[in-house]
Amino acid sequence: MIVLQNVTKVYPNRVMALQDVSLRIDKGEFVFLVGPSGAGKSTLTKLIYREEMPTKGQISVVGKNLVKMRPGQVPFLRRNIGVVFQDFRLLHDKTVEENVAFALEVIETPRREIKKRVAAVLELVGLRHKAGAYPLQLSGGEQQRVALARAVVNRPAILIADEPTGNLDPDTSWEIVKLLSEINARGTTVIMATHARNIVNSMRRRVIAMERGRVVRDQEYGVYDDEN
Amino acid sequence: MRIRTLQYVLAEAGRGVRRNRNLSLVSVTTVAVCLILLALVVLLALNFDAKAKELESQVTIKVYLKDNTPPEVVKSLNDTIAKLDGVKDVTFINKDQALQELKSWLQNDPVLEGVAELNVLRESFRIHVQRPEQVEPVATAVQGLQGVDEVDYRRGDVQKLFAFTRALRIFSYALVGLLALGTVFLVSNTIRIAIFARRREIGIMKLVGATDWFIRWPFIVEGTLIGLLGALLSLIAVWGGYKWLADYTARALPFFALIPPLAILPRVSLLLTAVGVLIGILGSALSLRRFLRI
Repeated sequence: MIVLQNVTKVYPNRVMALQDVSLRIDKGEFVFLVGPSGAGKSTLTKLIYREEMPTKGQISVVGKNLVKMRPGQVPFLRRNIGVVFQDFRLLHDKTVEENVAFALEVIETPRREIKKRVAAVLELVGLRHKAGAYPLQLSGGEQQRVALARAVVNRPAILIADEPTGNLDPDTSWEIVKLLSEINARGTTVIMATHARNIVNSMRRRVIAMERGRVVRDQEYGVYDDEN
Repeated sequence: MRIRTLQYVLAEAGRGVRRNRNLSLVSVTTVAVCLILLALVVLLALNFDAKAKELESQVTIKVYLKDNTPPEVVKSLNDTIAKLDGVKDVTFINKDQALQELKSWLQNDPVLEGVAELNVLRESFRIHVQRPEQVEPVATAVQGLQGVDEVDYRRGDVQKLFAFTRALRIFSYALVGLLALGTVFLVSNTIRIAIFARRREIGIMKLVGATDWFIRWPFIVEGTLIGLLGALLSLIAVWGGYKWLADYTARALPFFALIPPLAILPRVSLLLTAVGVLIGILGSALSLRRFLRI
C-alpha cells in the first residue's frame, strides 16, 4: 500500500527532515508514528499524500510512483487518502453536513450519492444529530469527528491522522482513537502520528519511532518508548 | 464539465464578486473607463478614415494644357482621358471659363483689372475618378499625353490627413494599451484578494483531491465577470455618447457628419466586449499564477 525506499527529504532551508528512510505499510494496517517534535513525522505523512516531494529515493502509494507522477495526477492520488490534523481545518461558515459534503462536491460526486454518504458517515462518527450545527458551536472532540467524517466520506484506502488528539482532553482523545480503530476495522489503512504515550501503549499496534529524520524502531504490537 | 460543477463555478464567482463588493466595483469601473477611452480612439480613427476617404474621392485632377494647343488635339485628349480606367467624368475649361472662376474666387478684386484682356490662364481639364486609389494612376497616365503641360491633384493634402490619422491612432493605441495593462493589474489584485479570502477552502479542496481546474475556474469566471460588467458599463456610455454626438453634429455641423451610429457601433461593441473579457481573464490568470500554487 505504501512503500518508501531510501527516502531523504531536505527542505529548501537546508533542514534535513528525513534521512534514508525505508519502510513498508500494508493494506489494512494500523500504524502509530511516534517521536519527538522535529523528528520528521509530519514530513513523512506529507510525502505520502504528496504535499512534499522527496529529495532522494522512491515512494509508491496505492501502486503509484509518486516521484514520477505528473502534477495533474496528484488530485486523483489524494482521493485515495483521507487526512486529519490537530487543528481540524473545518470551514466555519458551513454546517457540519456541508463541511462533509464539500469534500465530495469538489470531486464532482453526484448529488444523490453525496446525500447518502454524508448521512452514513455522520452516523459512523455519531454526529447525525448535529448535522445542521456550525463547527464553532461544537466541542473540540466533535469538531475532530467532523474532520474525520470529511476525511473518510470518500472511502479512501488510507487515512492519515497527524496528531489528531493534540488539542483534545484524554477522554475525548480516546473517542477519536476508537473511531480510527473502527475505520481501520472496515479495511482502511490508518497512520497516526502522535505524542499520546498512553494511547500508543494501550493499543499495542505497530509503532514506527523516529528521531532526527531516521526510523529508529519499527515494532509490531509496540509501545511508545523503547523497552530495551 | 458537469452541469452541477458549472453551477458551482458560477455561484462561487458571483459570491466572490459580492464578497469584495467595493474592490469589484472599482475594478469594473476601471475596466469601463479603459474601454470608453478605447472606444473614443477607435471611433475617432474610424471617422477620420471615413472623412479622409471621402475627401480623397472628391479630389479633382486638374490637367493644364500647353498654350495654343489646337482644338483637334484638345478633342482627342478629351476622348482619351474619358476612356481611361476609373475616370468618372472629365470637363474642359477654356480660358474664359477659367477667368470667370478666378473672378468669382477673388470676388472682382481690382487686381484683376487689365489682366482680363491678357488672360494668361491656361486651358484645362477637370477629372473626377470613381475611387480614391485611382487618382494616382489616372494622373500619371494623363501626364504623358501630348499637349499636357502640368497635372495637379493636390496629392499632399490627402496624404497628410492619412499620415495624421495614422500617427494619432498609434499614439492613442499605445495610451489605451498602457491603461489596459494597469487595468489588468487592478483586476488581478481583486482576484488575489478573492483567493486570499478562500485560502482555507482552497487548502481543503487540494487535500481532498479537487483538480486544479476545479479550483481555478471560479476565479477565472470572476475575472471574466468583472470584465463583462465593465464592458457593459462602457457600452451604455459609448452608445449614449456617440448617438448624442452624431445627432448633434448632424444638426450643427452637417459638413462634419459622423458615421451613423448603427453603421459603426455594433462592431465597436463587439470589440469592447472582447477586450473587456480579455482584460478580466488576463487579470485572473496573473493572480492564479502568482498566488495559487497548484
